[in-house]
Amino acid sequence: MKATAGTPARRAALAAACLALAGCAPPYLVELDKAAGVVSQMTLVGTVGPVSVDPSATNVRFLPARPTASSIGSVSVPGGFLVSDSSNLENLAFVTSGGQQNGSDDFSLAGALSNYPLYQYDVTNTLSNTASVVVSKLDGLSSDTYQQFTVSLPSGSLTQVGSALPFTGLFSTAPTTMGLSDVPTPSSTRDTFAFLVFLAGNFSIGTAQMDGSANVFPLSGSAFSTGNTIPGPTRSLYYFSAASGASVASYYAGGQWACQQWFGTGASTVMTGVTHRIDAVLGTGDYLSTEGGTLRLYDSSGTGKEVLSMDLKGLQFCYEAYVGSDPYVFFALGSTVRHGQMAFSVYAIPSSAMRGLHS
Amino acid sequence: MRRIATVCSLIGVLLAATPLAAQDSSSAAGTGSEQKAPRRLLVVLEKGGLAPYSTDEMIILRRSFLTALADRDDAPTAIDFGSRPFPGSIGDRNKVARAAGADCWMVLRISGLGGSPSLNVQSYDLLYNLKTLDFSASRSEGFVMADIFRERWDDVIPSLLKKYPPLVSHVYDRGPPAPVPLTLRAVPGTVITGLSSSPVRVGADGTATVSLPSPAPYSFRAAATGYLPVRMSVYLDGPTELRISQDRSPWLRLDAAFLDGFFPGAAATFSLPSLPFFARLGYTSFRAGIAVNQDQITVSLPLSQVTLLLGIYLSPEDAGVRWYTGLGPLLRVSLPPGGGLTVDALVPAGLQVVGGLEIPLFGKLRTFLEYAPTVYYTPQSDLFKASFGEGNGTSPYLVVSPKVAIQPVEMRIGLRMGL
Repeated sequence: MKATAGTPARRAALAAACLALAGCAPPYLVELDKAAGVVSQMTLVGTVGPVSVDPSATNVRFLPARPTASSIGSVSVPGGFLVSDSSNLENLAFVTSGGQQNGSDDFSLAGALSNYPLYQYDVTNTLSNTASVVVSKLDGLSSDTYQQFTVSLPSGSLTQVGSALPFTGLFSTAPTTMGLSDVPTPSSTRDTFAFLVFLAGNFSIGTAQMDGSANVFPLSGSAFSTGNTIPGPTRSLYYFSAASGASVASYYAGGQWACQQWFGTGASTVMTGVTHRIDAVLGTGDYLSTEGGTLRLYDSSGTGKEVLSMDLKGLQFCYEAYVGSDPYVFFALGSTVRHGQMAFSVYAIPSSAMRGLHS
Repeated sequence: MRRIATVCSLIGVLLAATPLAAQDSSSAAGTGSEQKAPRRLLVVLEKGGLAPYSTDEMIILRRSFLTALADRDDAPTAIDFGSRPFPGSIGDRNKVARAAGADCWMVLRISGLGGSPSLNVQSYDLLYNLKTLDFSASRSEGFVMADIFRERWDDVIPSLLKKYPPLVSHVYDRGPPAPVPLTLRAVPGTVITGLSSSPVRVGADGTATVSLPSPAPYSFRAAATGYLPVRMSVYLDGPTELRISQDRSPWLRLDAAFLDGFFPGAAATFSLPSLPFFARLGYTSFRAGIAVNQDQITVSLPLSQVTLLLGIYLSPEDAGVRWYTGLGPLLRVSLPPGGGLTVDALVPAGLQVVGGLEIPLFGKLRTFLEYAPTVYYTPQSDLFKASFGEGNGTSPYLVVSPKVAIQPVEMRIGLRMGL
């Protein structure tokens, strides 16, 4: 039997040429597959990237601009804020949906503790087509150390908004800011912030409001003393539940995270069941923790029963935000598409469905 | 018809080549003794390479060879081809030899330096359609032209005598070719082609008989459902019974292959013996490979690809190049670190069109090359485009449209073993 496809040398050359043309790796994102089981329970609302990211950067996370759509099906991601750490700086940048970086700012990481995030990023309502983020430095030492940055969508540049007005107007002397956080509310022209400060041996809580489109951080809240004390720490994360009116402080003490809950000026309850850092208090009243990449939900009643614990498989919690009248929890998933390039997909799930999530 | 004409031509050569034997046939038959006739060898001497021989010296060497050959008992009758150029291909050489009245030919090429000549011998037997000699010999002393009549060519002529002994003369002396029965034993239903103008089918008793002119060489092909086709050659010399050895056609073939040149995989092909259709289940791992479109040349992805191909062979199983085509789905599965086995979220599935060819190597082992353009389903098209990195969602390897991407060039090469 004789082959008729040419000489062996010609066959080999032909095969080599074909293989050189075809020698490409298949498109594949390992992070996406790792989280596939989790994100399949959520709605993909947008993708950003590819974004150039310093390969040596750590703690890279993406916070999408707050959605303005009234239904989850029409939510899109016009861009968002990229936070990353490198050496002794934390960098905040705005990236468009196509991955272009428009402006950035650096914050010193001096004084950071391993158990606490030194900076907290609260993405506030997108108003007048302007995305906004409030950066708060929570070192337990400083007063009024928060800054607001805005970006005109879809491709404006990150701009710091003047200087934030201090809390000092509410107190006789400047208090030490221990914690503050945005309180998710249905679409509004204002964002409400809840804060916990320390002044003259007492803790005080209060609320403030900001207008995302203004060049200031106007305060219109009130402050009052409370008999509750948080033992030991000089730093705390603080949340206010719009659903129940509860104040929630999450802090690291005695080698683990602890949590206290109180209402108004009433006595606090130590939530002995909550032993992980709290990252949000959801519209459902549940406490949400993503410490160590594990999603935990705690029932806010009693001493805080853990009702969900699951591996987030690399998903990062962004925030809770309202879409129309329904609260949704937003997550971002970063995928390395090339050396020094990442893409971020943003997923949303109704807050009411959070307890049903599973790996 | 051409084959029959060739056979008749060859028989004509044989008859023309042995006039004396044919004339003596009656006496040979009368005595009952085994009369033998010498073979007729076309002798060609060529100068090769830098051999330092003039034209005259080559003539002397050729005549020396012819003389030495004629001196031997039972030597073939030499037909001197002279100094003319001899063709290069065996087919053309055979034609020239037949035209010269020979039933075999020999080319003796003398090359090397004058003091250490090298001899290369090639020879072909037209009767049996075989290459009989292809060897080289080296000498430590050069030819001495002044004493060339003593040259015996002992490194060449004995081999020729061995290959071309005289033939029994009845091959020549029984007159014109006469039909004789050729009985073939094979699997019932086997179809024999090449022996006659119409195919011959082996009956239920496992035999088929065909009447053919003898003596003459024949070639034929035997094909039966469920069995590998067989090609055979036979020199028919009187009534003959021949058993055709047929191997069952494999219903299972195993592949070891590389996708896109560098990603290893395996496949099992199931085929129906009576039909040209086949189904193939394939697996390719991207765990270790090499690619040209990455930042680094080595690629290791926790990704695998499972394919199902339904195809049809377009060429017979014994073709020199066997073509096939097929179509089938593929599923991409992944086992990422820290995650469970999952269908790839970025590109979960696709559809592959395959056009391939198989080339036999030896036994039931073949090599194959497949062209397999693929259409991929990309439910997350924005993320899929972002996965290319910078380039505005375009890739030189893919044609991208919403929800679908086409990879026009995808190749698979490997070995296929029939079981």
